Amino acid sequence: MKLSNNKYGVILSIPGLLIILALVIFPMITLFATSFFRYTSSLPVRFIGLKNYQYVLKDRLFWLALQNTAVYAGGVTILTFIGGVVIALLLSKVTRGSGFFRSVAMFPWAVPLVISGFIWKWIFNPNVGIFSDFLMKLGLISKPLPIFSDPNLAMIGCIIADTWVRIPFMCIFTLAGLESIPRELYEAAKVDGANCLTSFRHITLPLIKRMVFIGLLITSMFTFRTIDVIFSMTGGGPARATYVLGYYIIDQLWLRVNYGTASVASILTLFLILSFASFYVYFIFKKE
Amino acid sequence: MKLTDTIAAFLEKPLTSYILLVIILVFILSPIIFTAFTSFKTRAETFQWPPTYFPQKPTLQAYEEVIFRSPLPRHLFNSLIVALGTTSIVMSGSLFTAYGLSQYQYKGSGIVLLLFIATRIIPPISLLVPFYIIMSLLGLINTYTCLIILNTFLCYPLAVWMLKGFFDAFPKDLIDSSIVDGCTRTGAFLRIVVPISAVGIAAVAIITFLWTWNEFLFAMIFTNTREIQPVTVGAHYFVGDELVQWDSIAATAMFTAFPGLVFFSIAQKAIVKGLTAGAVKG
Amino acid sequence: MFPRNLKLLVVMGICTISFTMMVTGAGAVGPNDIKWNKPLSIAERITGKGPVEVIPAEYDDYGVKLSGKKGMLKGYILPEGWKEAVGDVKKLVLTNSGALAGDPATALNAKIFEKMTGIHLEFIEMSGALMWPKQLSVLVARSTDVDLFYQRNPMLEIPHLSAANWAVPVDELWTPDVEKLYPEKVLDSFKGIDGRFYGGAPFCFWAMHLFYRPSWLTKAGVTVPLTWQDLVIASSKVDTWAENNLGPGNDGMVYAAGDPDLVHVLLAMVQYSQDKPLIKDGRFVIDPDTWKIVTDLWLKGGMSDSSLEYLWSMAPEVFAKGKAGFTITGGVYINEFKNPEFATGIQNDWGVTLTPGWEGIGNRGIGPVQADDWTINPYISPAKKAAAMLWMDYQRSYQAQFNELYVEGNESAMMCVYEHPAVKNEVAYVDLRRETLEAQIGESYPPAMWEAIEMVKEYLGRVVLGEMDPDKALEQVQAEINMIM
Repeated sequence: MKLSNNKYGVILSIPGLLIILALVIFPMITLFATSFFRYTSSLPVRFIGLKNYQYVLKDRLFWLALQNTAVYAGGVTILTFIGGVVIALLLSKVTRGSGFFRSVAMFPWAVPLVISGFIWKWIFNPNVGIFSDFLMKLGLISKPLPIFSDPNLAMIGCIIADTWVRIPFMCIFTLAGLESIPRELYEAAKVDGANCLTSFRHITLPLIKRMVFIGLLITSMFTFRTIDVIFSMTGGGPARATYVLGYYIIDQLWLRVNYGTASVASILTLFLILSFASFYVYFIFKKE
Repeated sequence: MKLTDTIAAFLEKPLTSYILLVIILVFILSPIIFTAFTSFKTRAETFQWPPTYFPQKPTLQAYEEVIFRSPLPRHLFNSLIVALGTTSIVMSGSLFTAYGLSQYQYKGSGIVLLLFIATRIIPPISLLVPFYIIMSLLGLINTYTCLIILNTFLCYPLAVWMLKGFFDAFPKDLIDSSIVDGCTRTGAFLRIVVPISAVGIAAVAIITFLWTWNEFLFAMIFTNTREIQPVTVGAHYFVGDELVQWDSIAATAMFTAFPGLVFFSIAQKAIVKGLTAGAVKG
Repeated sequence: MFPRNLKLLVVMGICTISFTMMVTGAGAVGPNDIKWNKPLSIAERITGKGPVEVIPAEYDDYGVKLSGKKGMLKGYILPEGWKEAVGDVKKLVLTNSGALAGDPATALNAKIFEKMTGIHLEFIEMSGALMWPKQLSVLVARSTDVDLFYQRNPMLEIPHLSAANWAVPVDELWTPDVEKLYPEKVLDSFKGIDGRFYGGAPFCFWAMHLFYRPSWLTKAGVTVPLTWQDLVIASSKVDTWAENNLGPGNDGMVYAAGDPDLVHVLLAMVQYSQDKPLIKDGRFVIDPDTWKIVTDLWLKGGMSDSSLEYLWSMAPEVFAKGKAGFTITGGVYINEFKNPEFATGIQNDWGVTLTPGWEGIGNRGIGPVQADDWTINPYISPAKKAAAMLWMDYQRSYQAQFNELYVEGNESAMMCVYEHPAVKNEVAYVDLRRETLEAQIGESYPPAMWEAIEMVKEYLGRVVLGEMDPDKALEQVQAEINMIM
């Protein structure tokens, strides 16, 4: 029996749809349901309507986590953008040994984020790490930087450890965009007297915008929700300086053992990401 | 104008790009390089201040301890099983899904595609609680099955997205002519499209493998014992309770980064293609 | 056909009956079948003593080499009925904090238990930070993967467990006679919010001691401080001296303030020394004078800022490398600091004494009970529960506690162990440690205490980093605590 092309397509999609149903829709429903219940370790489960939402939205720690997450995600995205684009530009110009250089540029991506946290924790450690020692040898500072007992430095340290792993990703996206620009455009511009800076501004930037935006969107979305680096580097401290949304959710689960508020925090995080992403996507498509 | 002209002239020189690239790459690589050095130091040397860069008395002691006297080999094994399991399931499913969405679009297929992308936007941490409740009801906490299922959820949509990009770019006449010659649609897919797209498919498989290998959050929450925990969780073994064993962590880091480093060394071109094919088109 | 159906019926019948028996526990035995008070009363059974002998090679297990060392291999007397109660349980699964290689006494005691009962203890070694989340996962899943959970912070964890019925009450193990064997004010910390005992085998007490560098103190012109107020001044002077003479990276004092539990310990030590408890009418109340002294240690004293990131093992390590003049940490470090491979910077130049008291009141050495313990998973079978309680009964016995103190240097929970001649002769600073242990106080905390402690840690950090005025911080943290209790 020969199926129509349409039906064939539908059948092919079925395994994927099943996965989505089982692993997304069903848990989402559970999540929403739990958020309306008082579901803690010690008291009986009871429907309490919006009380959990009120609690979380009035919780100082939630807003603190939100603020820290915005700073963290913003910092990583911006630095990844700069680093990725710069390296991609250089890689596109290098012709000899380009394969070798590209492979090497991707190496940080091989390291899991948690491990990156450990590595940078060691590098930044004021007692045994090379970062402070290096700066001291250069004469820039006189005593080791207390990276993990200063709130700002701790945040910067976490941002660096995260950025380091994500730069190759951004770099690849930018590179793909760069390579889709036809050479003739540059040559024509040269004939018209443009130097590399101007052609970068007028040709390269506009044409890679799309790829770069997609890369940035993915990077910022991923960073918004990861706690890997912070878990291994600072544990949310000092004085909750690196306390991000993921940590807030974990505290609801393990410290307060309250599944209702944990669900609420998860839902709020989700909405934040969705609205940010849709605003972002709308912005890109509007430009087209 | 004069200043920008000189800068531009400097940047245009071919040698400049090489030099800048080398400098930047050295910086980028330095954490890995120093970690490698640290893994060859003695425990006492890692505690020195000022710190040494090259190991003064290179030793394999850290590797010895990590391989023979720690649970790391088991963790590496666990990571391997979960990553391979996830990759095989994701690849077998997503190949068909992506092909269907690409070549045989039907009325709802645009929505289906959007649904896939949307699941990627949902932060895993939001689903922690419901997943946990479901998995515990199924009795799957602390099993390979659980981790494979969760990682499949994480990687499937992106694999579909990337593969669809490949299949979109595939010359349709090759498929059509083989069907005219009597091939079934599935047969055409398996015998023509797959072999020719092998490079791209391999790339997607590698990326899936790496993402699963690096996954931490679900591994930490859904596993309890050393028998099942992958290496991202197992690395915490060396931290905390007595002292932070920097040399052992460095050796662990080298082991954890190893698959990625290997993949990037030999399959870099394919991976780049795989990651961006979907994006450039889609 | 008839015979086939009959066979099927018989098989089904047998299955149904045995299934019913299994499910209803008919014929099953449990901890209630152990006669804890026979052949002797519990107190007499668990204080049985044996000789201190060289450990033979057959006790080497768990990757720990014990042979050649000395320990007490006999003494504890098993209760009657244990064999029947335990049935054919041959294995118990326990979590352990860190690698067993760091807990030789636990390994020895486990092996002794195995030889006595035939029950093998399987330890799941876990990183400390992941233990509580793991315990919660197992309990929420009602899994029987783990039989006994290691509680690193029983005072903070047991309230949650008892409230959710996530631990098995073990009142049978704690008769009044037994309670007398342990420091009196200590036992509250193992009770749940219902007043019942949930921890049965307290061990590895951490009694805090004040460690110092005599040469530094002499050169800085200070004497060993006896009060908290003196400590603020003394550490400040030592800090100045160290900065000027030894360079940056050397501090007056270090403390593991990165560990919320140890922040709570510091607060408790100071508050108890004023004869004030932490919990009043079921709520956690921070005394303003306590807060002043604690913050003053940083603001006016020589406590290093980097202490904010130190976990429990990092501060003593910094001290051991010779980078600090004072530290307050557990008595187990008396052994560690004697080890020249670990304590490279302080050999022959360190002293230990009671923690400070309060000016005009005294109470040197007082502090909150910090003991580790185990609780039993409520979802395991009755036979396994019996076996688990048997392990608890052994682990808190004289014999096991002697091994803890003698072999590993952990403070023994049982007081009379400190009287043993071998201990008196060979364990360093025995009298000091006994005195400190007796001064520890336990309180029963409400479940929200843990959350409250995290708040205290945060606000302490803010004050130390200069982000907030100490009085304002106290006001705010107390307000937040009052909201959750």
